[in-house]
Amino acid sequence: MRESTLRELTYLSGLAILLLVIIHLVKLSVGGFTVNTSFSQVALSLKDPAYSVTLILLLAFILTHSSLGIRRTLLDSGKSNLTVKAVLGILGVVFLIILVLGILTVW
Amino acid sequence: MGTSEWFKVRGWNIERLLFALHRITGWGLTAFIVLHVLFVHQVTYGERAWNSLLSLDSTFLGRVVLLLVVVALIFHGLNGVRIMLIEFGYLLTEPKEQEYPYQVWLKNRRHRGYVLFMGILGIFLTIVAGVILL
Repeated sequence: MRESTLRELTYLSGLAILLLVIIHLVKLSVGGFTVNTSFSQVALSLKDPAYSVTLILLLAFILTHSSLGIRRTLLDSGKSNLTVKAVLGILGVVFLIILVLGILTVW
Repeated sequence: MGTSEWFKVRGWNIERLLFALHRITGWGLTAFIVLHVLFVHQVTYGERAWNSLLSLDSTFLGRVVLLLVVVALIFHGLNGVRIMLIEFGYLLTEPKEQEYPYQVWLKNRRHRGYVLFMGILGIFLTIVAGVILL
């Protein structure tokens, strides 16, 4: 993939995160943080399909944005292409597990 | 620029500080999201598991850590928008011949205005987050 495309992807995922994280934080804050993080309230929130989809999308965008950011940092630090690929490969597996865990949480 | 360069104080200016902080907060937020997903997944193991972890969050130290995460998020978001605005040319100066010593950073009034706006909005949002969390 071209470097400019990756950069666009970073920006677009960043903007999507900004929008979705505002929704997430507002939902957590309105009515009181302590109330909204109680077991019953969290379980109730996760039963809402629209909110669950929002959370999964947020997680997917964050993991994409993070991967691209870590890639950029490694390249800027002068790491070889092989090192970058190896780190991103390991990171890809870890992030995939995190995404699956996230999906299982809201399922 | 190597990673060690981020922490070299000599020759710093605000733009370089913002760059280093953007990277550091990015790494921090990545670590947080991994832990956050593992934490929230405990809800599937029932109320007892959830409450035992929530008791960590409920301590003063837990709330302070959450506030730091929110502050990192606010900074990363606002600075990310700044980077995008620079990339798309909205905060750049008109091209002209450079003269030594080079002091071109933040020369554009709009760029300085945005950094000021970033600071004010960042402080305001931090206070709001502090009131909600603490």
